[in-house]
Amino acid sequence: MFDDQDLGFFANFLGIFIFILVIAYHFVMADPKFE
Amino acid sequence: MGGKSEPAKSESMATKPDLLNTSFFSFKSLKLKTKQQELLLRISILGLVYILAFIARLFSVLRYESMIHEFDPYFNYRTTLFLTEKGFYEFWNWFDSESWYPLGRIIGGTLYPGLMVTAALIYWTLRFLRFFVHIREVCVLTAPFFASNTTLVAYFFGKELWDTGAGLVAAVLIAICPGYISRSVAGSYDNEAVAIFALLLTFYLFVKAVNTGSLAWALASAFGYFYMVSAWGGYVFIINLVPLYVLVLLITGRYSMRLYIAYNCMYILGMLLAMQIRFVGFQHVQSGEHMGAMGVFLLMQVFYFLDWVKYQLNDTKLFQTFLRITVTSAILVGGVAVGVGTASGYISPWTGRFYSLLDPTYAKDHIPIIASVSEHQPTAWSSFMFDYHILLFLFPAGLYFCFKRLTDATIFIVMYGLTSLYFAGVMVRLILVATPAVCLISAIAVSATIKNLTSLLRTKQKVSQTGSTKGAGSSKASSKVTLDQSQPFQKNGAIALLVGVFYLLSRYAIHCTWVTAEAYSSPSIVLAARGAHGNRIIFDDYREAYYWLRQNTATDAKIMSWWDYGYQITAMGNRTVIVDNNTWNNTHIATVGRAMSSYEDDAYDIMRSLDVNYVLVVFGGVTGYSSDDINKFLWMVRIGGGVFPVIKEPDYLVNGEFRVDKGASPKMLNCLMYKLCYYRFGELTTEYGKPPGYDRARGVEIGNKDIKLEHLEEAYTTSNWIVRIYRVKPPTNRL
Repeated sequence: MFDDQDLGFFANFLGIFIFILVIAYHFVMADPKFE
Repeated sequence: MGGKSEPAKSESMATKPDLLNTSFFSFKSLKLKTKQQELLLRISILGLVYILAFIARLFSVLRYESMIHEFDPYFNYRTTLFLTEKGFYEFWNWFDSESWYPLGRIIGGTLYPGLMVTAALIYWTLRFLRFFVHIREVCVLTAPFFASNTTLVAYFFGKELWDTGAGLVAAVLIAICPGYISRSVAGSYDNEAVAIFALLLTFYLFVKAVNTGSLAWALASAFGYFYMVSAWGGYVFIINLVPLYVLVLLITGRYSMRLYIAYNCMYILGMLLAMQIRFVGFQHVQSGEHMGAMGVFLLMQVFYFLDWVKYQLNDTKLFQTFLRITVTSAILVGGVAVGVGTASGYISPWTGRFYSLLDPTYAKDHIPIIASVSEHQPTAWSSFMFDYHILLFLFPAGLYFCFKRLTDATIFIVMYGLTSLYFAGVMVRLILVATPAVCLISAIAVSATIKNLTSLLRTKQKVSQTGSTKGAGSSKASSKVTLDQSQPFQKNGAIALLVGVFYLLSRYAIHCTWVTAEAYSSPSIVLAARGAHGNRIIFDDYREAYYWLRQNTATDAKIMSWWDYGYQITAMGNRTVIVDNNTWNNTHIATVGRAMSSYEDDAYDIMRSLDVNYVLVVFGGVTGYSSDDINKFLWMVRIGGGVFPVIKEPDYLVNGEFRVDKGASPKMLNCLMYKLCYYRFGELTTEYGKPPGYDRARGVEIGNKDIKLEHLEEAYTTSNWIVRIYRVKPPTNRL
């Protein structure tokens, strides 16, 4: 059963993962070839 | 990429045609172009943020059960239930005789229906799609659903203010920001649940309208405003902030046709739509709180007229004189109109709530009923840290970026941020209103910083490649070499800072999850505590008491309690209450406060006059629950004393101190509230090693252990003594 502790772990993981994606997004946007 | 690197690349490709055609072919075809990568990342981030915003609010459902939280949401739930069962017109004309006995309450005319109508529409849509869910589930999940939608609005708003990167960061920050989560967890079925979405949507659409000058966006913002007005009284913030913003633009010489179209359309249409909400009515043209918006509207017409005259006149000097005369007369006429309107009573003065927002000490001195609510207290610094975490220092950094690139849009967000932060300092619950602004401004800081760092990394790659292909022949190349020498340090620095930024952001994510799980996911109606062995103990006394009322009392029984529990008693107990959380009639609440703080004989007369059958009190002496009626008692005395001078606060204090032990004042030891809470408590041992009658919430042994009741009798006490219900005896036979 998925309990509140599992949810805490999952929310933490997802939050951090999204921030990695955000940095990756900025990295892609900074590509001189983008424009 | 320099043009000269292209031949080198094509040459290398030409030398290895077989490799490309064989093993690397599949990789090559999978490799996305930069624009595709950007799109993929953007969609993934938004999708994941949408999910995260929803699931981060489900702790209470997993830990307890799918239930409505706290106090006001129970009223909202009850009215939504009524709306779905009886339909909109019945709901609109509903006179509720179960509350504020004997006065009753016209529900349709005294509520903001936006939340209920939204939930009902979701419910009916789901039913139409053959998802047969219970309306309670819809109500419980409305807030998380709208929080997810808010992240999308934050993204578009951030994009409008700065760029796509800032929009994405804003969406992530607001999705898990504790300042917002505190009011939007599953079960928190309150007006703010949809209002923050509506607030941000209105602001976004208005800024978009100002940026584009498009009538369509202005119309959309008027409808956004209408939704906000239908959902929450906090719309007053919009109707004051937007004119203030327009005024600032006018003063700073940023008047434009775009602004004229956006504001006029939004104001006129928004006002007309808002008048359709019965609770708001004609306040837009009659209330002092709305007069600023009207004044700015008229000022806009003056500006338009001046603009036209300027176009017609070629003489600058003549125009300057004309300008002076027109502006002075406009201000004079406006001032006289407001003065006459206020004096004649046409324009109502500012309400106490509005005053208390501007002056934090006002409510404490003049309106105890506002000051008594814990969420109306001034905010402590720790609350800011708790609710904003890293945003607290990212906010000033974001302001710096905004000031560096001042546009119409960034001026708006700066004004929104600064004004709402002031209000957040005045009242702890208004942290919620400031949260979107803080997230957006912080997102600008984060995004601009990451952008700088990543472009530093990217630029260097480009330069080093160019340098290596060019060789050291020309003088141009030698300058590149000089640049190259500083690169390793810069690159390492940028990477280190990027890691630092990531560390901070990940700490923010962890903090938000922790705060949500530990602090903001308690339903209040069910209490949890840790036992001696670390196990979780659940106190479900409230529901136990309300169900007892529903099943063991007459259907027309009248229950008297402090106003905090009124909504819950009517929603769960289905019984008539004397006062509830609507607090619209101060005298009625003061009467209950007077009864609670009087001696039993006097209180009995009051209760008889109100046809009270049962009295309900909340007591935390056994469990150590501190939000009980004894701790709220001084507010009952103050509110009662505010209307009935016979009740005096010093009578309940000893040397200015509130006590319940042997040193308490005689009036305190014999008043109705004390007797009802501590009846039979003197016989009970609550803690090992402590004498009987030891109050665990206040940590003292009570002063009056031998309590006898004359006109009331104990009807029911819940398992942990949190709720105690007493029956009011009929009058004794006088013959």
